[in-house]
Amino acid sequence: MNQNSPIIRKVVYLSAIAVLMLPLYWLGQPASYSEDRTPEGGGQLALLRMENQLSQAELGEIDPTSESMKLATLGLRGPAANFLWNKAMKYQRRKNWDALSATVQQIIRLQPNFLGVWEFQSHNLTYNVSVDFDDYRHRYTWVKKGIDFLCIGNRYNHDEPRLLHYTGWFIGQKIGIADEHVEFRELFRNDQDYHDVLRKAMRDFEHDMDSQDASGRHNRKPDNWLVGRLWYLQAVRAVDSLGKSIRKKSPLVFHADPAKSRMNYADAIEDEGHFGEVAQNAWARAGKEWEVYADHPIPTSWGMTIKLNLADENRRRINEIQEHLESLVPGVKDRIIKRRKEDLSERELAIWNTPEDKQSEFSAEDWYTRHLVGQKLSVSHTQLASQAPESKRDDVEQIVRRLNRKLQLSRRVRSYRQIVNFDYWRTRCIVEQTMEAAKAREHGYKGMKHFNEAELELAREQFEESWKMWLQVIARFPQLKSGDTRDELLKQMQSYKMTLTHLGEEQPSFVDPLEWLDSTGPIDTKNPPSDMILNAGESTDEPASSGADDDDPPPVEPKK
Amino acid sequence: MTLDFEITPFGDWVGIALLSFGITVLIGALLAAFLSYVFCAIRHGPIEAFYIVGQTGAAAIPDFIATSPRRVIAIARLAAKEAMRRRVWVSLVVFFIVLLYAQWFLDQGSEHPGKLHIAFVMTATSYLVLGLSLFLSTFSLPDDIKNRTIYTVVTKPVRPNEIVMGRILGFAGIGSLLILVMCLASLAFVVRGLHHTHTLSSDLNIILQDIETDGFWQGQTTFDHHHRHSIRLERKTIDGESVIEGQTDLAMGHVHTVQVTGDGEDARVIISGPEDQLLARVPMFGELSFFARDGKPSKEGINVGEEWGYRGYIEGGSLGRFEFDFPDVKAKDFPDGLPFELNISVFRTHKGTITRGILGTISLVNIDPNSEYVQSSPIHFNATEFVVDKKFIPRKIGARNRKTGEIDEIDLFDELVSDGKLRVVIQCSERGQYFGAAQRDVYLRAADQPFWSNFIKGFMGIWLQMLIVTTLGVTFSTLLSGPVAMMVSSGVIVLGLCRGFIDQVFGGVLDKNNVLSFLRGIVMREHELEGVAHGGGPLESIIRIPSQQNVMIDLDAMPWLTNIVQFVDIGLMAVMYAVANGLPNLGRLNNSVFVAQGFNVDNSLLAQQCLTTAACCSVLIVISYFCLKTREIAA
Repeated sequence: MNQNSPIIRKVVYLSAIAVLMLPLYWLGQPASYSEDRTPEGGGQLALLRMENQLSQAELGEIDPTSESMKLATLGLRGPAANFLWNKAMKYQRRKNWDALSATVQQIIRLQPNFLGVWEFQSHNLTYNVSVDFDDYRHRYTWVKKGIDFLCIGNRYNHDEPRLLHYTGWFIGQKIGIADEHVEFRELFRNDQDYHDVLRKAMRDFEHDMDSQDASGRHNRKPDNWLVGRLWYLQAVRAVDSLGKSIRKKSPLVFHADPAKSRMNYADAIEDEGHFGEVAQNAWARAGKEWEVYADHPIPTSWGMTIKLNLADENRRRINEIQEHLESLVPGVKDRIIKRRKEDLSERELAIWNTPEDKQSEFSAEDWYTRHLVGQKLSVSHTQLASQAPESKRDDVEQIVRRLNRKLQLSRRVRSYRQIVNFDYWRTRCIVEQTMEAAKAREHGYKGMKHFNEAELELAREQFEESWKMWLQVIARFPQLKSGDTRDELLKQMQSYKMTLTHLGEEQPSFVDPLEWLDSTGPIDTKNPPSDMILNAGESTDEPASSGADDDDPPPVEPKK
Repeated sequence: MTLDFEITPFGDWVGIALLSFGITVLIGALLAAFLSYVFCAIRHGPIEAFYIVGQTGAAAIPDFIATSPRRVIAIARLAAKEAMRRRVWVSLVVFFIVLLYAQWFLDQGSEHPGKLHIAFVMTATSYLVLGLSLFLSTFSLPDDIKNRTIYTVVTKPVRPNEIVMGRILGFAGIGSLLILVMCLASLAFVVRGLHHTHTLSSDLNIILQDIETDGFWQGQTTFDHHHRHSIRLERKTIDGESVIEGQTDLAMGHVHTVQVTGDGEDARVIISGPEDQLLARVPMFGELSFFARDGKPSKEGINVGEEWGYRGYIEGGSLGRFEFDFPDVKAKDFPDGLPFELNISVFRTHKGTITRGILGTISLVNIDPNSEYVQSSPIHFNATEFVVDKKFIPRKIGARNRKTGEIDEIDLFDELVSDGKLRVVIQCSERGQYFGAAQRDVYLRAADQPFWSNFIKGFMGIWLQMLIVTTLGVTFSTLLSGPVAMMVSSGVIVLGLCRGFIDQVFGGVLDKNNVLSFLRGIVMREHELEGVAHGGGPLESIIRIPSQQNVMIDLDAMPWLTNIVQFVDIGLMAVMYAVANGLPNLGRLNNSVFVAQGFNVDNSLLAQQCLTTAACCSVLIVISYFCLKTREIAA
């Protein structure tokens, strides 16, 4: 062999290394930053990382503990996390809470940017582990541990809307709705050490823990619903301003939560006995925020973006188009209906023409027949267009297509509004600002208090005052007969009836609230039905509502 | 706060243990002799083989009898020097680095930081020392053979057992030294790491003013080390001297004592370090019996649907009750009364009153039904879960006289304890609610041992583990090359540590076989398993994992393949089961659970662990003697 071969081989190797360095440099050059620390260039991998926001610095805080743990697993972080996860489940089964908490902390250090871990384990600590404790103070501690966990998650994953939203949800819903919500809310309100923790976690928020938005107006102490709302707002900001994705979460519900938090706050302070201006202001703010929500663009599942407030505008436009359409084909609709009526049998015609007050005598079959006749007599816009004269047909068909699109949009907006019970809450915010509703609630609260203290005479007085007020409120706003208000009133009613039973009275002296709630339509407070009003009470000068379309409540302004 | 395994008294244990050890050794020896004979018979013929096996076996006896401690120590010194040359001190450096950064990895907000600190240092020590022992013990002898430095030893009049014992002693000595240093450093780390104090959140003048006007001051300490305490200070007279004193509430597993000394401008507050945190309680356990709602004895408590069947439950507002029979309660051990500690679990079927715990009663019952006083007046308590609930029952308590029907004040040791036996009855008072307890959830706190001595006992467990690992490593190194010995030893240790899991998987694969499924029950009973593992053995898992098949469904493969896979799995698991169960359970030598939970490591348990380790090491030394003796080192 030639003696020069080793040297040649080495030269070849070195050359190959030098050549390979070029693509390596092209790929792996670190990111470069401008003076204001904004990334401006680098290798292809660095650029891709920047483009997809994948670098650790962009995802969130860099934690030396986390990095050293990841390094120590020598690339086996998946198996290590899996092993720890199994250990955590075992500790939970065996109620070894300290070990569970410590293991969960280790898991998140291994996988700080895997959102599923944060969501699952925070829920686990807050909802599953906390209820394993009998003492409500221990439960509260574990609820906080779950929230703390999410706060750390938010540090590792900046501006991640799902985590921010979850944090708001836990602070609001878990503390505010749990069985122990009275105690939890009280603990939260006075937990200054925990306020400091949240203060640190919220230091970059537009409205932080020290802002007025975090505290109740009645006690100037942080309220869980209002603090939760600030987290929701931060989540909304991440979506609206930074364009972050909420993944599979429904945008309709996601954007509703800040306003719902205000409503929950208002509801909660009334439950705790704060009425009058404080509560009315809280509802006013909630109503205002609900209108902001109604104007917020909501992406939908069929690819369009809608606003819930579109329903009102859309209905007006539909009416206009319909009028325009009928003006283009005058009398056509009536002619079609007349012709179809001629084809009806005598029985069908008789049923169709039965006046409304006689319809109560209908059998089930009669109702069905009436329904079928209604279908036969209904004239679609397309059928109307087909009857238009040739000269106008193109125009009419165009209008019908437009009208159908508007109707479809209207249906979809209506269905979206129903999902969040939009109209109920809009009405509720208005109602709760009225003096009648405020009084009704105050009397109801006092009634419950007297009832719990076994002061039954006083309880009855207060309950009946409350019913009188509610009668007036529901007369104006019959929509409240469903939903949360109904449930609340039923609960109060149960105590009222028990009060009467204990007092040896079989019948309510003023009104049978159950019948009243179950009755359909509004009640004329000036002339209440005699079977309902047993002992006429106060009435107001407010006119009774003429009834409202469930989809579009009458725009009622709050009383000044 | 649970110790979910029983400790058999040494006296009861030693007889059975020695018998089972003797039988195992006898069977093992016969099996080894037979296999050696077969092996020799193939090479030398049946008659010659008989003589070879006989001679080798017979030579072992004088070799062991004539073992020279001087030579063993000399080889041990060489082994120790070799270990030092291999820079074992690096492990100490690593350990100190780990301690320096330990606070990063510990859950700062833990309710019981003491438990975490102790578990952390003991686990870190254990991993480091066991890893190092394995490395040293497996590579030493093969390297000597490979480098032919072994000739310098074997050409001297040294017996194989002396070589083996010397190396074990040398490496174990180095390991012991490391453990000693790590133990002391860990103790300092735990004590210093947990030490802290607070200051009071109010001004001292205001506190003194409040005490003068109201007789007490109630407030809080400052927020330090992730927590704060509530405190009530009042003026007390101790030994005729008036002092202002109080104790904080329990937070993060400890309390502080607060004293105000001096008067006027000289007054100052002294707050102690954390108390009741690093403990070594000596518990006295009773025998638990369950009674159903109709008052009849029940084998176990009610199952309220918990996955972990550790605790049994009794129904509230019924005749259901726990009875704990304490066998040896003496007045001289408890001169002032009985200090009980309870860890009663609660299960609510309705919310009840959320703001307070479920009510229950404790009664002390005389087991002699003819005694004048049958039971004490019930002592009411609110159950508190997951914290040690201390109940001190004074000697003088009320009890109803059977004859007069009057409630008299009695001395419980005179009237309720018969021959040292006392029964404690616990009932749940609220209908629709349940109390849960296990054998070790109610005990008498007989005494407290110093924490440092308990900490050392905890490290004794690691030391025993290190001895077994070192001996195992040396044994394998007499037969195999260094890396192979390392792999085999690691495998065997991992099998030993995963013994519970292997038992469960073995039970699972047996369950799938129609012929052998009856063995599943035996395995489960033998190892007190809560259930078997689903998903099959190693081969079946290899199929299930890539094809993403749920472990709860039958294997989705061709029937003939399924049969083969499951048959092979039984064979593989049988080998693993045998190996894992043939070694002492290294997990049972881990005493950290006692130290971390504040219980004294029972001397009886420690004696059992020492004897088990000694027996295991003796067998391994004999095996390694034969391996080394029959090995052709010159090759």
